[in-house]
Amino acid sequence: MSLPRPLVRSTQFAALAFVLFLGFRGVAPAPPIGPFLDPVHGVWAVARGAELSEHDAVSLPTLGGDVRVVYDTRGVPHIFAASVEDATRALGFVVARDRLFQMELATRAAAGRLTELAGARARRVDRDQRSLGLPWAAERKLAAIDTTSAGWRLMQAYAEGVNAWIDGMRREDVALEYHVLGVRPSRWEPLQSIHLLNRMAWTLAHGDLELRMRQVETLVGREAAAALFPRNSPIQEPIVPNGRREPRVDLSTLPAPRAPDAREANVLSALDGLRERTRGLDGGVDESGDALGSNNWAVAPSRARNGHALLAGDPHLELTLPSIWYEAHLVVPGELDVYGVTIPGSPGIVIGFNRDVAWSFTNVESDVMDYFVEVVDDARHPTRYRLDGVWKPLEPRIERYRDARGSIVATDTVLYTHRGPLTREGLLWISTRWTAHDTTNESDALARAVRSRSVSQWLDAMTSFAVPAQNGIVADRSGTIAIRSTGRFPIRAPGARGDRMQDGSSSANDWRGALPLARYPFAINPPQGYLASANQQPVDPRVDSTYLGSHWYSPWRAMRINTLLRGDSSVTPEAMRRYQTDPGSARAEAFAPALLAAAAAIRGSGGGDATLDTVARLLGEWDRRYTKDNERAVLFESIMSALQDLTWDELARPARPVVRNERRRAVRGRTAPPRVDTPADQMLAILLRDPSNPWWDVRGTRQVVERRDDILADAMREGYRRARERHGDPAAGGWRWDRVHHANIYHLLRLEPLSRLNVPVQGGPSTLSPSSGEGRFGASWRMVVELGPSVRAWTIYPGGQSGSPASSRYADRVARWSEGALEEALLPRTDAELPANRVAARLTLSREN
Amino acid sequence: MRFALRVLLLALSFAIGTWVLGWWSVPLFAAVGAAMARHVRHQGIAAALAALAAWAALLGWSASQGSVWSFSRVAGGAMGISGVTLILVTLLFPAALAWLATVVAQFIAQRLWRRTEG
Repeated sequence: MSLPRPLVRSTQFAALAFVLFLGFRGVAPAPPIGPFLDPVHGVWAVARGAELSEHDAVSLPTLGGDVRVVYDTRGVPHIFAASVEDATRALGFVVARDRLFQMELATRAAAGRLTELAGARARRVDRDQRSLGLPWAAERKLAAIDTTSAGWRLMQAYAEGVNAWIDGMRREDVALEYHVLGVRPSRWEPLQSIHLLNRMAWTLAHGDLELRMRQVETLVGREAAAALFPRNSPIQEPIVPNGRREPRVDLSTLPAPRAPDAREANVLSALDGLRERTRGLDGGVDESGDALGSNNWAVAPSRARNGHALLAGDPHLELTLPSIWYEAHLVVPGELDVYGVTIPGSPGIVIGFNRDVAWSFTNVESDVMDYFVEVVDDARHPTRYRLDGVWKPLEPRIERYRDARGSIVATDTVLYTHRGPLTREGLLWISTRWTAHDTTNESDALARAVRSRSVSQWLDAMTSFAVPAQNGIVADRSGTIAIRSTGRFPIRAPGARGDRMQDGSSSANDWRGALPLARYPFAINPPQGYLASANQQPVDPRVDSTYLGSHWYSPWRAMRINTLLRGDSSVTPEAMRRYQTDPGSARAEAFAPALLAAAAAIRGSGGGDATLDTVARLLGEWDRRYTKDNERAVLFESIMSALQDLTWDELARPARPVVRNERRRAVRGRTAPPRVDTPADQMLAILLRDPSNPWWDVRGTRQVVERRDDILADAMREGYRRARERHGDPAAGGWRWDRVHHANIYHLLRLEPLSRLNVPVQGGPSTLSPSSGEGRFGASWRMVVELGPSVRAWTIYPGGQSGSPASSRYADRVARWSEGALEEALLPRTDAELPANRVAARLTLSREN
Repeated sequence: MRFALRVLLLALSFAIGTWVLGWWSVPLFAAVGAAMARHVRHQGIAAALAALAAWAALLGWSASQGSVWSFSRVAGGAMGISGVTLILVTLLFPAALAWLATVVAQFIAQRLWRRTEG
């Protein structure tokens, strides 16, 4: 049987039209498949351009002189130029060559312009970004920038280099992601470098302390909330040495929680939206802060085996492919010889070393963002806000969202008070005052810092670095070591607290300026012979009580570093490398003995059972280390999770009540009720010293008043039950740490085939190489530097230099990073100095063709 | 023999067209070829085979410059399909285009020819 001919013809016409439509327009989210599949110009071209050519020569007319670039076998470009500007042009070129899509994605995200790449699905993210005022702030910074400054000159030179790459791109140079999204690269402007630094500020210097406090207050009252999220760490192991050889523990008692205030129930939900927007890149990570964090430390020659200063740094950030970092070496004879990592899109080295000085950063975690509740003239469409009894006009800024073709697809208005952007949260209108909105120029500070010849020069150069505030550790070849928390720390009105929402109707509550440099936390050449930071509170409040922030990370990592460094008076670079992935845990040392003691006490009082005995035996076998083959760390973490659920039940959201008749049922099951917030584990550690504190009592068990040991024993039983449920019998092999805990390094677009998932790692929550439950955060860069007569350094990051998934350099370092290994950095003074067997490719950039 | 020669000539034109102009030259050249051979039987099949062969040859050339096989897994993965599927789609897309463009163009050319003669 054959079909009627007209039907066949119609079908053929329709099919051709359909295939042509697919070819030219595609069906979202797929790109037009014609240009995508084209074997010459389309996605297949990427395969041809994935590897570096042995020799390349490119014309870059704005150069002052020729620049030679030698790629070593690790894919690191060594750039030899006659001027710093030329070196920066070349840096822009080589970084764009490897990472252009990443640069564009990061800056568009920061500018609230992802819609132009990804279409309408990205508009909500763009809207959030713009409502935070970040694009507005970047434009203000650009308008205010000193055009004679080194930072600005380098930003321009960098843009020239990036654009030279874009202009000369062949079809095989267009990144895979552009093909997938069906868009073309756009030209680079210096403003994008500012956007990028703003994005770092958002990642590292956003804050929602007052929102969290306000929400917790509705559940447990003001006094208890303040105690749970204190201004000062109860366990003090500060960055600036306080003269003690062990942590100082504050033995204050946690006040009892008050009953929830039903009248304030709307506050909880009203502030959720704002918290979500200000959460930044670390959204979704364990809020207690014990699962992430950066480290750095420096050792004076007196405690180093070779008699040279040593410095180590490992900033912990979201792990992505390609990595947030790009490794490079810039040489300008007589002026500059700097090696380290740059953020693609940023015109210089951020963390690294030169022949005389090495430096690294950890985040200060300071409170540089405040919220003000404003009084407005119209609850729905305000045009004015009240300040000191006078109505002031709100400044509107029209935000336009465009599609890939540049057509406006939506508009929005963001209102500004004199403090910053204004957003509506439920019934509240809240304005934000944030140092990231200030007209600062961090590029200038970094540009001068990389040329310093001593610690003092580096500290001088970094004086103007404002956002995000960083604990900059630095060492030099003369043996000086120092650390300073550098950034803009606001001075608030007398009596005003940065961790509380302020009344916006009075200018008396406005910031009064910034802390002077002389009051920044600072230490140099301490008698102990080393310095270390791990995001802990910088200064012991007994030494200096100046407010820098609150709700600090638990100092477990700081305690561990200090333990290791105190115990080693002959430190080697190899030991520094080992410390970076040290499996020991001060947190485990604090909690495991308490758990075992509680089990013994319960047994002694006749309340024990076989399960508790089993858990105590298994936990007792644990060496308190998070090695890959460890089979007991899983149990401890499971117990700690149950302990948080049982202890902080008062912080559970009332929408999902925790009131049950029996406390074990309160945490039984896969999901405990979500908490509004989770206090740092150091608060739990303090609570351990107070066996009858009301916080131990479970609200849902009205007939019984629980004490510490009851809860610890219950947490052990429940943790064991959960561990068995999730990982099977402890003897079956499923409890190995590397089977349970992984690093997950996602591609920037979260495309799993381009990601490296389930990478086994050593370390767990609160170890020196911490990681969150999802494994999305970790050591984004590891570096050890020895500042001897000739500098030596070892580095690694989890990824590879190339952003092309088709390249052999895309993820070539992941396996070594996972092992905790470092690779020796090559430091040639001239291009001829690099051994021939270590040269992978050469590139010449010249003014003329 | 004449069929094979036709396929070869069409494949050559598709390959050069794709190289110089881009993917859309495939339906364009197929339609032009069909108009010129409006009464030739199996022209659609010849065009489909030629387009498949032309893009296979271009893919082969890409493979000589880089690793197409491993890249197909990466690029296919990015699109949520396997590498083999991506290669198959890459070869079937021009074949479908060429066949459809040929049969439609032959039909139109024949109608126009008849109308002109009539």
